[in-house]
Amino acid sequence: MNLFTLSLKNLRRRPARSLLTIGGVALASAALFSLLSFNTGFNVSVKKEMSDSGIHMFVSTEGCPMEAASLALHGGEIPKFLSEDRVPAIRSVPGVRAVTGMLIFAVPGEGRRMDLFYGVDDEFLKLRKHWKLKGTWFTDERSIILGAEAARVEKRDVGEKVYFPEVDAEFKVSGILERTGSEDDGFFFIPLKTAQKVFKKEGKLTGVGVNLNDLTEMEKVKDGLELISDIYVVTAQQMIDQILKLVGSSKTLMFAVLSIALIIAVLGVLNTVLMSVMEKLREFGYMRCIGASPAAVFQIVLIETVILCLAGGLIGVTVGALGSSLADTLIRDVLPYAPGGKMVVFDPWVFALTLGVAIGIGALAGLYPSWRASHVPPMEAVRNE
Amino acid sequence: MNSMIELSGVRKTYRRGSEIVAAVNDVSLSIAPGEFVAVVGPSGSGKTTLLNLIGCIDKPDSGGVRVDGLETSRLAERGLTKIRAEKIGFIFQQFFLLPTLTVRENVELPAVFLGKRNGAASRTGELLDQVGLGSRASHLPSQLSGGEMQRVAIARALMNRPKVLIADEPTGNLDSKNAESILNIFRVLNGQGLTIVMVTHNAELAREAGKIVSMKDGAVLPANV
Repeated sequence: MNLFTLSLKNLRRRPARSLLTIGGVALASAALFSLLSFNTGFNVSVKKEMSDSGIHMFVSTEGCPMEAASLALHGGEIPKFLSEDRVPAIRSVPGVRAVTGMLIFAVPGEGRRMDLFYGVDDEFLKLRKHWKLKGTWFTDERSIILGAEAARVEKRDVGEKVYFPEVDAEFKVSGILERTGSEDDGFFFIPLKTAQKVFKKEGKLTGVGVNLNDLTEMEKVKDGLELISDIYVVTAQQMIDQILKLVGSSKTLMFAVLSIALIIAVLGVLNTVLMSVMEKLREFGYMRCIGASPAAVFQIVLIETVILCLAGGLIGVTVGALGSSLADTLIRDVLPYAPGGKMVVFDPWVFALTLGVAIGIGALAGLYPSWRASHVPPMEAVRNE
Repeated sequence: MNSMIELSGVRKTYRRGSEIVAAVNDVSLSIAPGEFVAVVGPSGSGKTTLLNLIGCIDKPDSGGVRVDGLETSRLAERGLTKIRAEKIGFIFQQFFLLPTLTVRENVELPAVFLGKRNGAASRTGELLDQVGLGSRASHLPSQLSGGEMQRVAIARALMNRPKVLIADEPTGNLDSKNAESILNIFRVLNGQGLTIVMVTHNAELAREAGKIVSMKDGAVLPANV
C-alpha cells in the first residue's frame, strides 16, 4: 500500500459525490477538448479549403473579401455580374497561370434545400487538381458533374439523366466527384456556356478564379489585375485573414464561456474536496498521531483531488473525441463562416493539453484543502475523547 | 536506571472561556523501560492530557518531557512526527480504523507514513497472527466486532516496533470478554519488554498494571493515597 492507494480508497467512501465531481470535470474537459480541437482544426481547414480550391485570387465586380471567400468556396449569388470580356485581360497579366470564369446560381430544391449550380469552363480543372472523377469531364453542353453528396441525394450514377424542374433543364451525368470533404461535394457543375444560357446570363460571370505560377508574386499580380477597370481583386490570404478575423470574435466568446465552465469546475472540485476534508479532520488528526507528517497528509488530499480531475479529464476527452461530429455541428451553427470538411479534428497535443489542464484544475483546487488537512494537529484526534 | 519516560515539573493549561484551567499541574513522573503503568483518576483529573504530553501530540506550557532519552518539549513538529512514528504506538477507545482500508492495510499504515515499506507485509502478517486476526486480514473494519477492531488497532500501534505503547481507555467500548482479551495481549507485550502507559477507569484493568499513577485536579497523587 502507498499514499496513492490510500487516496484512491478514500474516494470510494462517498462514491456518489466523487462521481458527480468527476462528471463536472468531465463536462468541462469535454468542452475544452472540443474547443481546442476546433481551434486547431478550423485554421487548418480554412487554409486547406482555400488551397484545395486552387484559387489564389478571386476577381469579382465589387464586394468585400468575406463575400468573395463565400462565393469562391461555398457558392452563392450576388446581384451584380462581371462581364466575360474581362477574362482575356485577366489572363494576360504576367504571373497568371490559369483563369476560370464561374457563374454560380442557387436554386430552391426539394424542401428547404438549395441546389447550387456552378457554371465552369475547362480551365476549372487546372484549379481543382486534386479532384478525382468517376466518369469523365463534360462531354457536351448538357453534361453535368455531380459532387459526391449531390449524387447521393439525387440517387444518380454516371450515364444517367437528371432533370431540374426549377430551371426546366435536363442533364446527363458525365462524372461524379469522389468525396473531397469540401463544399464541392454538394455542388452541381455544368458547362459555363450552358449555365449562362439556363440562367439567362449570357456573357456574364459571378467571378473569376485566378491561379498563379508563383505565389511570391501575389502582390505584383494583384497590382497588374487592378489596372483592369471595374473589377475587384481579393487574394486568398486576404480571404483567409478576413475569415479568421470574423470567426475570431466567435472564438473569443466561446473561450469566455469555456473559462466560466472551467472556473465552475475548479470551484466544484474545491467544494467537494474541502467538504471531504472537513468531515475527516479527526481522521487526519489520528493519522498524525500514528506518524503521518503534514507533507504526507497534504499529498493524500492532493492525490485524491488530482485523481478526481484526471478521471474527469480522461472521460471528458474520450467523450469529446467520440462526440466530435456533434461538436462540429454545434460549432458550425454559431460560426459566421465554416469551412467544409471536419473542423474538430483529433490532435494528440490537444489531448495531452486537456489532460494537463484537468490535472492543473485538480492541483489548483486541491491546494487549499490539502493545506487545511496538513495543518490538522494530532490533538484533533483526541479533542473529544 | 535510565527512564523510558521522564516528566519534570510539567504544566499544561487550557483556556475555558475567561478561565484558565491547569489540566496538568507541576507533574513529575518517571517510567522505566518495560513498565506497565495505569493512569487512573476521575473525569477531568488530567489523565488524557498527561497521556497526550507523553505521546508527543501535545506540548507542555512549562517543564520537560523526555521519551527514550530525548527531550521532546522543545522539539519542532518535524521531530515530534518522527518520535510518534518511530517510538510511540497509540491505541484509543474509538479504534480509528480507516473504513475503506482492509485490516491488513490499516495495520500497514504506520509503515507507509514512516516510509519503511520493506518487510511491512510480513510484519503485518506476524502482528495479525499475534492478535489472533490472521484470517481476517482482507476484511474491512465494518465486518469486525468491537473487540476485533481494537485488536487491529493494537497491531497497527505495534507496526513500527515502538518503545512505548500508549492506550487511552482501550477497553472503554468493549464488553468484559473482549476487555480481557485486550488485557491478555497487553500482558504478553509487556512481558516482551514493551513499556505500556494506559489510561483507564476500569479498576480491574488498572490492577493488572505494575504501577498505578492516580491523578486528581491535574496533579499526581502520592502512591499511598
